[in-house]
Amino acid sequence: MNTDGHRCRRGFAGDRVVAAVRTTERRSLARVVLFAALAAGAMLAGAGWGESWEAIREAAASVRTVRASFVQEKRLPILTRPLRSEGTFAFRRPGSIRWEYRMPVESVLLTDGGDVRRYTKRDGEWAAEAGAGMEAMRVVLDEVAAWMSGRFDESAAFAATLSPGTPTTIELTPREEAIGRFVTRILVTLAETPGAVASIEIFEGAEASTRIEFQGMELNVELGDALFTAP
Amino acid sequence: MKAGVPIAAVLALLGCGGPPRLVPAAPQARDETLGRCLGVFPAPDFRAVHSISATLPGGVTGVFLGVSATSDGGRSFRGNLLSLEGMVLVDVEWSPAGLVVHRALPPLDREGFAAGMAADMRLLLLAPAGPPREIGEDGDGRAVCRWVREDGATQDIAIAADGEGWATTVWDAGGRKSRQVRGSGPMRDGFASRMELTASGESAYSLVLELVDVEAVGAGAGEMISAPPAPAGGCLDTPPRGPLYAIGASGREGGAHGETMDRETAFETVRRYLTKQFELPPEKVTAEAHLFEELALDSIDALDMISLMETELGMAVVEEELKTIRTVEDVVQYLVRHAPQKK
Repeated sequence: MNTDGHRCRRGFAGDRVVAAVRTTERRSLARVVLFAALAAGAMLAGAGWGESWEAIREAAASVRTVRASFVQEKRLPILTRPLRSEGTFAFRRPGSIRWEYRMPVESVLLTDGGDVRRYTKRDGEWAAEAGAGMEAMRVVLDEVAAWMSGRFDESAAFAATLSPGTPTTIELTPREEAIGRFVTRILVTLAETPGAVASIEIFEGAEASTRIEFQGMELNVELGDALFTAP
Repeated sequence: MKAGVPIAAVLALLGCGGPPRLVPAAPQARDETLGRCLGVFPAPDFRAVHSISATLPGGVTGVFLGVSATSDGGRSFRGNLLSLEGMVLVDVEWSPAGLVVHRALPPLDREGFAAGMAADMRLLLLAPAGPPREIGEDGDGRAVCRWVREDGATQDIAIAADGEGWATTVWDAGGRKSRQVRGSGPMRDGFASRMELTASGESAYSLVLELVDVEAVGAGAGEMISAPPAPAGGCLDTPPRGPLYAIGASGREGGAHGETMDRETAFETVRRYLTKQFELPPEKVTAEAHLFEELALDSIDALDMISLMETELGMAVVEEELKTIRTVEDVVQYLVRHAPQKK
């Protein structure tokens, strides 16, 4: 009991663990059977566009454009609640991307396959960012463009592991330690709609992560040039 | 041409003019003035998010997000500089004991950047230590509190005569103005909605900080920086996190357990196992998450997890230590103590 008269739980769960040792083998066998059944069910349900790299590439090949809104949640050890951002994302084959945040800071990252430009809104006007840093974003956007084309397993920077199921997930892990120092892994969850991504989660070490969840995704709508060249 | 010399001398004198003379405040007004000066700092502890527009030497501009949190009653802080897309670029932690750099990505990993960032954060977020040397009024009728810091620099906090806005100015030991912060706009939880920092000198730069979000926190805020003490007579819900924050300036863990798994690898191993075997959403598997109450595992689940890790990682099972396992962090620390480092 603590000073408030509440029962302390210290050691309670641990005792349960130790007491359970004797039944482990029996329960583990049951668990194996259960997992096997679940895995079989997941495989059947996932038998679709995400069952193989080939199937993913085929589904993505039918996608010319993507447009969606997104909600981004940043988790940091020093924050008690995630930092929430909202914006829109647009992609047009082969490499045009518009990545726009509406909050907390209005900004837009643009590429039409060539240079990458970032604009931020200051005092109601769009201002182009001047300076270094865009080359790094070029690498990031090239990677995103490859994902949108279903070419997850062709990345020079990340090794991809496909886990078909409901939902299908793709885990990307850095091939080089230099990248692993700031991104430990990326988890991409495919949407039910063939060729669409439901969410992307980026892990930066043990406790910092960014989850981007796409909403209202539209495929193959007409997206003009201006969308990828001007804020 | 001769006139150029005295003009340059006058300009130089103006640049090195040092802090202005103050008319001392009346004894009965000193406490009230000091209260106004210290009122520009949020208290006691908070977590805040700012947008930061930076204008750097060479005309380089950029916009970032800054996340900051103070602890220990406003005497320590941790700060993250993020890209607008959310990538943590720099992660620093400062306390009177010194500066720890948890992370610094190129090109912000250059020598001195993290120290400069921490110095600016101190100026923006923390009240100067100790009592002021002078309290008074300057020539513009502003109420001013003046501290002389350990490094010989002078720091003034001046409150506008109309009460709208404030300025913090620092002169180095040689009397040259080195930093100025101007706060303006409505206050929110002790924060000015807008702060502008100007750094003078050879590498002059300016930062404009707009408040995005702020959350005042209670006495428990210190747990992010140091291990929380066990409440007297109460229950310790989270075990002390010794190795978790024993991180050196390189961003790598200190290696207190050279032959065993480092904490980051251990956490990823546990998280991967829990998300795969129990289909838990990765975001739920935090260090603090309680295995049984929050993640809904039962004791058999926990035992299976340890057993599998014992087999896969070739580590010893120490029954007595199993009794203390209640959270994800407990399992992580168990691995840190017992799982051999992968070669």
